[in-house]
Amino acid sequence: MSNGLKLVLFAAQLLTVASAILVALHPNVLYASVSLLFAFLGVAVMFVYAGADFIAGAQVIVYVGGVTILILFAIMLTQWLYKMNLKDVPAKLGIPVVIVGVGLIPALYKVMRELAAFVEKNPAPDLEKFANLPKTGVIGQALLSNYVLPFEAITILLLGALVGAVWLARPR
Amino acid sequence: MAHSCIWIVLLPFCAFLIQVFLGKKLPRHGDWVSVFAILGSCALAIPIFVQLLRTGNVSDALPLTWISLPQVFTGKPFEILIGIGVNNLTAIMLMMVTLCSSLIHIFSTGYMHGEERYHLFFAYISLFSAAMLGLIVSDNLLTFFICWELMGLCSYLLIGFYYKKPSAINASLKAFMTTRIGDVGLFLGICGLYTLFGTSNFEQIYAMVKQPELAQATILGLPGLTFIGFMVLMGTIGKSAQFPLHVWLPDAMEGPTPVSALIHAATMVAAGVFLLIRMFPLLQQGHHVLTVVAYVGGVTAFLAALLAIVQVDIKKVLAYSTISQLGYMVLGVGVGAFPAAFLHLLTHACFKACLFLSSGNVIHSAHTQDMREMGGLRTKMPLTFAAMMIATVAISGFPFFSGFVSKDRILAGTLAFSMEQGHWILPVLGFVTAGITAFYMFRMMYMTFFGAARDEHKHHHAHEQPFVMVFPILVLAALSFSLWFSGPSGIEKFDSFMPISWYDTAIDNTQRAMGILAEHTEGASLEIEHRAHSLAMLFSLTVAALGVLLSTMIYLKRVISADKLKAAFGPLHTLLTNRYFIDDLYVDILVKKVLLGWNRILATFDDKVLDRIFVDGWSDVVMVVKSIIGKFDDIFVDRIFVDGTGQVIALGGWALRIVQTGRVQQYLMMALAVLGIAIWFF
Amino acid sequence: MVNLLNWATGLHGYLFIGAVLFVLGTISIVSRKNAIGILLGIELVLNAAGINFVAFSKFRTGSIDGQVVALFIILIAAAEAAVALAIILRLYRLRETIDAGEANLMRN
Repeated sequence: MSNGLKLVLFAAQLLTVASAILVALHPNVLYASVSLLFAFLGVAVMFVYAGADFIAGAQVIVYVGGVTILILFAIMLTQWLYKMNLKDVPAKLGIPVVIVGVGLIPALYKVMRELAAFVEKNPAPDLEKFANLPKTGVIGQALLSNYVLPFEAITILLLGALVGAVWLARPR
Repeated sequence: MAHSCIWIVLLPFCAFLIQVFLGKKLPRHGDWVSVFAILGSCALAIPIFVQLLRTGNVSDALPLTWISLPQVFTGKPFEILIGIGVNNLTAIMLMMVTLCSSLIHIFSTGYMHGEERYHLFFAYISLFSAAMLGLIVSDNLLTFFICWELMGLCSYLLIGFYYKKPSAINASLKAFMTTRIGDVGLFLGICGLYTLFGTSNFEQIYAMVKQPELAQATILGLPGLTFIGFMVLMGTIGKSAQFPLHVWLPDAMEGPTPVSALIHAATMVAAGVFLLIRMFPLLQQGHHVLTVVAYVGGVTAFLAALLAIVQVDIKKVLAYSTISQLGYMVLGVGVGAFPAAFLHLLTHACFKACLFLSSGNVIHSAHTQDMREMGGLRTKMPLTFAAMMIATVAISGFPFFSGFVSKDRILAGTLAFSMEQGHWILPVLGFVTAGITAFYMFRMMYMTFFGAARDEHKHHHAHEQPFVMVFPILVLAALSFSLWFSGPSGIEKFDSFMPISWYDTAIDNTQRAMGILAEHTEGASLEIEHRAHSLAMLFSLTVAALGVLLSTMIYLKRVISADKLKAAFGPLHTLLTNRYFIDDLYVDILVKKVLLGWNRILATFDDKVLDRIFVDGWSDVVMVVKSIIGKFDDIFVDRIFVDGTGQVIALGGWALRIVQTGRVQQYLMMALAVLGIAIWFF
Repeated sequence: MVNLLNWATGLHGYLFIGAVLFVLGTISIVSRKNAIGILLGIELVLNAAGINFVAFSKFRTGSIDGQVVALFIILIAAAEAAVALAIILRLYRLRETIDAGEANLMRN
């Protein structure tokens, strides 16, 4: 990959991180939601670069187009917009939380690295070739062969979530 | 044999306990309990005595360890051994005491009839008998002393029996206190014995006294054996009413007559002499102890006899007579003739008890004790008169009677002693006293039984007493003959055909057991003894006859006037009637001025100083300590431990409560923190 | 700079991003008062997990399993977001507020 492309990826990663920071720390929950949208977009770009084209598409459709809109609807429904009561002062544990969190990053990173080293014992044969494949077909095949059970389970889950959400939010 | 001695002592003691607690409820107030108890003791004493008569020697022992402490101060363990020991002296004394006591018990059932505290009287004389018997069978000075004190207690109780009379109360206290002074001495002597010998057992003392190194032993700087000897003598002076502690005995006549007979004639006062006799080997070893003993006895005998001349109360005559005869016994021990002294103890018990009981009869019959109100009772009370006459003749020292035998021996011993060692005053005192004794005894008889009745009313009502009161005196009178002791006439030369030598055999064996030689068995001494004996007999018969003659002339025939004599001897008479002013000396000066003042000083000191400082002051100290401790407890303990514990728990609870917010976010936060730590470190 | 680029666009970069997103999401969950804010955090966390899976799929295993899992994650996240929002609406109707601290019947 050329350096230019890498640069674009890097920029996307920065965008993601910055958006995520806003999501976590911005007092206004509406701003945080919008930041989350940008974070999702950034993640989608990262998916693309990781050879997960279908996943990137799913990310954008479901998250950006679905979840974020849903969240915005919820914000509006709970009348915060009209009350202008959007100041969400973080809880008293704000500063210590951030400190702990920041301390947690290297920990998680270290764990993941060791996991990576572990996985290194069985290197895959054709990483490059696999990376450039269009994945849609592969995913579809995997869904209906190896992962048919989770697939079916997820459908039921989605059904349940649908019914449940409708029932929970029913009018009085 | 020693085991039966336990019963001999226990029977009267059990009678005492029964009488004290149950006496009032028993029929006849339980006098039969006491009487049977003492008769039982008498019955148990008889076999022992019979064995003595048969074999000439009895010996038995029952030792006991009372206290045994290991290695307290010195290297060896500290032990106090007590026990019962039977030997010849013991056997004879047991017989005499149980017999006299039984007779007096029987007499008391008549004499004390109708008394308010009848049962208590018997309780007390039972206790007394038990104590005396216990004293006799003790083989060591410790239990001897315990019984000695117990007898003192009974004496106090019995003298003060008529407690409603102030004079009786005073007399009982006087008796107790005076003998107490002597008892202190005796106790010091016992302590001295323990210091020197480590034991108070008679047998062991007899053995140890001979050791030559003891001659140098000292107690508090004084020669050891001498010190103990004098302390023992103190005990005797107190208990046997020797000069200068004789003052309690005449006053003790406030008690009922049987008491006087039992305690103050036959037994308790004899205990002092018994002590001297038992401790004789030790007394011998001390320097000059025996000499002092002899003088004490002689002086007492003489002075008391003089006092008896001027008494008008029949019991007081007998009291002074007792003191005088006790003086004889002590004199006998002092000159070394203790077999004679012991024999006099026995004979005196019999005839003095007889005299006292007879006087009791007279008092009961004539309702007075003053001889000036009596007279001519001979016809009214023939049996009493007969018994009393026999006893009087005995005490005066006439042949054929027991008193002659014993008194003669004492006087012979005194004479022999002075022939060897000087001190001529002693036999002089002895013989003069014998004469005076005869004089005042016959005076008593004449004033009471002979002549015209001085009080018609009393004379008219006088009568012989009931059988229970006459029987004992007849028995005792019968025992006052010499034939029981050494032959019909009492004069050895004439009686040598009679094999009644039980006493001599027994005493010889006793002396052997004690480790002292039978008196005067060597050549030259034997010679002196024979001469002394003959001389003594001569002298004693002479003075006795003189005494009787003088008495008859003054009091019976009225040839010489008593009043003229009284006027002639004016100052002496005053001195005698006031008892040499000794009582006054003791009470007014010694007690009231000296001791009372000292008592007041001590009492003030005790009250103001000791009580204030130590008792009250101690309470102040305690209060201060209490407040300190209270504060300490409050501040330190309460605050820290009690409240503190609560607060620690509350703190813990508060801390934990912070965690339990109920807010999921915080739970999650905490979980993440732990996770981070876990990842970092593991 | 190139090294940084190489690192960031390699496996390690993806993992790092995943860690960062995960932590930020956790911070949001833990510290936000608003219930919807908490939901935002949850979404971030799920995304981070997905990134990890996809990264491993690309750089190590060379198989499709990681992406399939990421797909599942997305689906589940969507379902869960729907339900969560329904709950929030319910809470709002009940309490007139969506303050997470207020949903607390415990006596503190």
